[in-house]
Amino acid sequence: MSNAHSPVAHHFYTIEQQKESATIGMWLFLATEILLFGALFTAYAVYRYKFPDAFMVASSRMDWKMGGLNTLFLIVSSVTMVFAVSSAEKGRRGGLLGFLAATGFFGTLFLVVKYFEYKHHYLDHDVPGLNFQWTGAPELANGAQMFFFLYFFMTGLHALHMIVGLGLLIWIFITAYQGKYSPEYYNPVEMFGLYWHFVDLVWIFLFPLLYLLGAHLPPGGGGHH
Amino acid sequence: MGQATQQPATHPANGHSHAHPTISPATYLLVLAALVIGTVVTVWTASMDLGAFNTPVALAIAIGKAALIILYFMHIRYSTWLTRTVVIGSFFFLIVLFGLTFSDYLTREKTPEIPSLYSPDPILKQQ
Repeated sequence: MSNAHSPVAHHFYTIEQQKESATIGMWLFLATEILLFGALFTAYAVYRYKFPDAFMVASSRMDWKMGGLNTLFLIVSSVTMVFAVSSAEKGRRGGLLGFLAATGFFGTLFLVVKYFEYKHHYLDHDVPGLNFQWTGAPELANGAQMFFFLYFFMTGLHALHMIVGLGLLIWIFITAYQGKYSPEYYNPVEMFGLYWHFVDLVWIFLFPLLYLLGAHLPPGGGGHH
Repeated sequence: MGQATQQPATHPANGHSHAHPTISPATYLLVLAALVIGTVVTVWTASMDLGAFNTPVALAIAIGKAALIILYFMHIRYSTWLTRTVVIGSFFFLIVLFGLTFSDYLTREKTPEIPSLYSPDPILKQQ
């Protein structure tokens, strides 16, 4: 173990080197995450290319107000996260704890909205493999099912990242409460911030691609009801 | 974006010493405002029928929002070039993923039948 009183681990020369190593390591992890979600965005693009009309009509069954509200929740939680990091940088423990709590609050609100959206889709028989029923134009049924499959896969993986993020947030909050961070050493706070912003980043692309394709269609433009 | 010029005097070019300078709360709040405006504009443009341009417009706004988050919230504007190389590299491979996939899908149905010495003669085949 490193010297208990030094924030620099024994295998680093300087605190700057330690911090840059952590940053690069985190970005390498995020590179794998970018490609993980990137593969799903590619699948989305391929099937949308194959079923352009079905994707548009199926997307008009999404509630863009819920998606837009969640976009705002995530953006605000990203801002509270940067303020948490700068509080840590300035050694303000109270600010750090407060902004972390705010970040967790908005992240939780996101998941609550997502829960109600999923519940609504379940009751509307929109879930492929479980209860999918398409009462719109029959020739669009396969493409619409593919749209909802990708919707649940992509937003589900994103929501899983949110849940993991909230778990990490609790750990950061507890260690911050214990006073483990100082202006010299707050790498875990900053690296968690990178993860949190990445999850926000994914949503910024999911929102228009999943919720807004059919927003210009007349209300009830497709599907049932 | 306008707020890019309102940075503290410290510049990223010095490479080493401090990992990043303190970014003012005003900068973060300006980025927040830009992200909220971007979201509203995305919804507004999506409500209009722009034909083939709906998705390119939405993606352009999303890329702008993503750039703001990466540069300011994730501090890449103030990071070293070593870190930036990793960031650029990860998006480079994403472009490779999209590019190679669509060089296949976008050309599948348009590839003409290439006459070949080895393919059966179409005239003979018809007889």
